Amino acid sequence: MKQKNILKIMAGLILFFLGGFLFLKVVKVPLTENLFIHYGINAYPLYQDFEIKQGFVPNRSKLLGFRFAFKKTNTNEHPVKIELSRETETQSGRINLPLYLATFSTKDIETGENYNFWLSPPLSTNKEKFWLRFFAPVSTESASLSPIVSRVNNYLEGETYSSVRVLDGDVIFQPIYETDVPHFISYYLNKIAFGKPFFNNKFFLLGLFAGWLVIFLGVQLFLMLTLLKSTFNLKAAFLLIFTLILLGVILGYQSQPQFIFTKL
Amino acid sequence: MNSERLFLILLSIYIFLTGLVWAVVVPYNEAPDEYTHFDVANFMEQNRRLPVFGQDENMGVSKFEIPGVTLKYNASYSAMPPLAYLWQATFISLGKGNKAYLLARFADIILGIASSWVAFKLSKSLFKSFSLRAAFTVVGVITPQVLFSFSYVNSDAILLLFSFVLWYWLVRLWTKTVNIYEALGLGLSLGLATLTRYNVAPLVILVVVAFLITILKSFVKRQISLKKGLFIILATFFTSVITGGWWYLRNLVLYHDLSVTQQFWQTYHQIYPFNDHLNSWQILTRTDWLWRNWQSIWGVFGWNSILMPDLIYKILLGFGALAIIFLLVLWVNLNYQEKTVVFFSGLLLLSLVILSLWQSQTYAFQPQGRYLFPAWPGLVYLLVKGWQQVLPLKINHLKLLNKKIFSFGLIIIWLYFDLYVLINFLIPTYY
Repeated sequence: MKQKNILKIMAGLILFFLGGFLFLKVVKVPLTENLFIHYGINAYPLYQDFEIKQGFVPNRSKLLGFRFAFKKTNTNEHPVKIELSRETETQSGRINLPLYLATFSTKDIETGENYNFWLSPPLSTNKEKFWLRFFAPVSTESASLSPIVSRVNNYLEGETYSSVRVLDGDVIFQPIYETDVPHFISYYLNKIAFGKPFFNNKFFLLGLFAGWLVIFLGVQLFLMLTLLKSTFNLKAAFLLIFTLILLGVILGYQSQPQFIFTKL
Repeated sequence: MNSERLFLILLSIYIFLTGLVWAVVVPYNEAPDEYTHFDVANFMEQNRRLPVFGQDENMGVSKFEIPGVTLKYNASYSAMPPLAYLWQATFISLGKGNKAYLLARFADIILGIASSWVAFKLSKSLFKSFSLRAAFTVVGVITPQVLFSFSYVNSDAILLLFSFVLWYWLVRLWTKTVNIYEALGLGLSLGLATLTRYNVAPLVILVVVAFLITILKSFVKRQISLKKGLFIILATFFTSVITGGWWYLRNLVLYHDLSVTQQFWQTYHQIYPFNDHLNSWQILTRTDWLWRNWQSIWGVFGWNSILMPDLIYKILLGFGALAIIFLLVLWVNLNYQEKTVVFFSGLLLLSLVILSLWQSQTYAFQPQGRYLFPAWPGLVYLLVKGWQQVLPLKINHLKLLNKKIFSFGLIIIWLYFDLYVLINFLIPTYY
């Protein structure tokens, strides 16, 4: 083999492994942990003197935000606030140090829909305890919005309180963390593999997904080759690609509003 | 290897692997009545016999819904036609413990692969070009709701397979008469189809009518003698009765009820009282029955609780409505056979909608697209045939869309449709 070709192959391999390393280690993706699957729903509409607090201990080092769902009990429009605070030990005891605040209107919320609340900037954490406080200081007793609260206690790392008592359930929330691609894949593989027959090993499960990905791409390759074998209109092909991209944009478009937790 | 064979092999592997991924991702019993279906198949495997409705109590709905309550009968699916459960029990016998449910799901994935073969065979009678045949097959078997049905334990998967089989016979019978060997195949198909689900009845009736008309036409045209015609009819009749009739005879002997539906619903209503009786008109005008049927024929997951965004169903509605408009406007371009298949599709869809409406009015309000599955091959035909009418699509002599681009575009969209459902709904709901 000519020296020039060997150099080309080596350059290709270096690019492949460097690209792979960058993709696997440098690219960061959001990971939304689903802590609740099935739950009965309780609702506690928030008003002037009535708030709800949920304790929470992050299990990853970088918190990007939260996903919440709400229940609307009437159509009144009023602002609602969510405060994220860190539980801190002081000489006078434990206090909650407010870190972030999100403010939104009930008019932007539909019952049962999931809404992302992004921390700006993201928060580095280290197994500390945090509190989420839901309140609506300007609303009256005809308040219209409640975070969705489960009927039983599923989340064992944080208590739930209303202004007046300890609640039996938990506020339904999903923390969103920053992670890299291998941890992202590993998270889902571990959770899907757990307790499953045949596929209870994540590497075996990974093999199934990899095989599926190969055939998923293979069918598309077959279609492309079949198209290329015959005479076809280039403009039509571009139109098809354009339509597919458009469809992807439509499907990928997040129609519900995204909210921001601003740093205090 | 020719393109057709390669296409079928690739599609079979795709259905096998995608079905397996979905079957592993969706936790057990996170699909409509999965435990109720599984209980019957599991009972058959463990006891090596069919369960008797009302006697073999330790299965079914009431066990889970009202703990400690003993009812005269149990609304278990032991009253339902047994073919799906016999098929699943065969697979369950390959493993024990918590493997059993996945093996039963595996049985349904195999039905998905078989459906793709039959759908492609049917497509050869419906379309001349390979690309349109491929599009018909892909939409027919990997639409998310259909793929979902092939990935959990139910009786809809086997109904889908036999719907494609009976549609093949329907189209086949309309084009030429049958010989004695084909009569045996037709009889077998009809008999087995009656053991799938009761909502296959309108399709069975349509095929029988088409069969009798074909024999009559052949006799009038002197293509067959009276003796041969009668022989073919009797051969078909007895094959179907021997294959499927035993189940109904058993029902008569055991329960004095051909279908056991009365006893089943009596028990069901003890568990779920049915008080909100609406008549058909009220159901259609005061509820979202039609829209929920439309949604759930394309993709509603979990216990009919995981929906895609409304925009998706609206895009599909637009796509379907345009196909119907193209068919009606360009009706004169269709040949006799195409017009007949369009007519059959419409007739069957209407019959099944009426049947489903009657069930929602009489027994339980259940707007579920899967009740329309026997019309599914016809519905897919209407979609593909409708769009075929405007192909090639030209603007100022510029060919924008030909059959190949349309078909392959549709296939790619449908592949990503499955991926979209997996990544956006199935995985995030449970993990």
